[in-house]
Amino acid sequence: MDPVTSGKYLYPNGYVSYENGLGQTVNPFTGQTIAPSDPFWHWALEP
Amino acid sequence: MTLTPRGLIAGAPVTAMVGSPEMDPLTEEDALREAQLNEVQFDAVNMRVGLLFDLRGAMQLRMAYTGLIVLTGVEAFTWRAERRLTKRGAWNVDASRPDNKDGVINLRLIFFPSAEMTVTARGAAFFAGDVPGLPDAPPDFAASDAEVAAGMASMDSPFEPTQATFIEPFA
Repeated sequence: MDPVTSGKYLYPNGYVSYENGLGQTVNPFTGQTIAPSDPFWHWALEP
Repeated sequence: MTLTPRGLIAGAPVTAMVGSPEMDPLTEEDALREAQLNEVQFDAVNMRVGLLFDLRGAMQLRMAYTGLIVLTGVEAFTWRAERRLTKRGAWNVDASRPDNKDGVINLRLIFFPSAEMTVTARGAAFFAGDVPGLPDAPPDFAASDAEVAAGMASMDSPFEPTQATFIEPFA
């Protein structure tokens, strides 16, 4: 996803989210829908 | 009295103390990024629209799992979406763009997959809070109707607002 440069939570280098075929964010290894505490929720990209 | 999103749309007062959300979707661009639109209620007679969001994926609103926007004095409401072939589908906010001028509230939401909603109104409120018993992860939309319903907020769920913002006139 594009960088997020405004707001309280910033992702200046962009982030990755994995989705299932129904548009839901999922864990890429398990395919399960995920909670905000899951590290794959909004996976920040490094520079 | 137990509050519900439907009751708040109808004008039920919030008597509990509430704080401010991390961002205000009524005034700040992209505050709803990655929130998922669950339900919309349009009350033509009372000129009200309610937008119920699942905030478990919302990037900028992390203090609550459920969000509700109530628009009053609604003058325009549009929804346009691409055709989807699945039984269910998530509509995730890609961009939220409030534009408020001269007493007119214009809210434009852009979703992925491709969909767009616009509302023009005279008053608005945003509530964020909790639906008791909602699990931390949303239900898999491929699950049964009962499993999906059990894991999502609805317009009739008990709703405990913990944060709110308003744009007058809201009545």
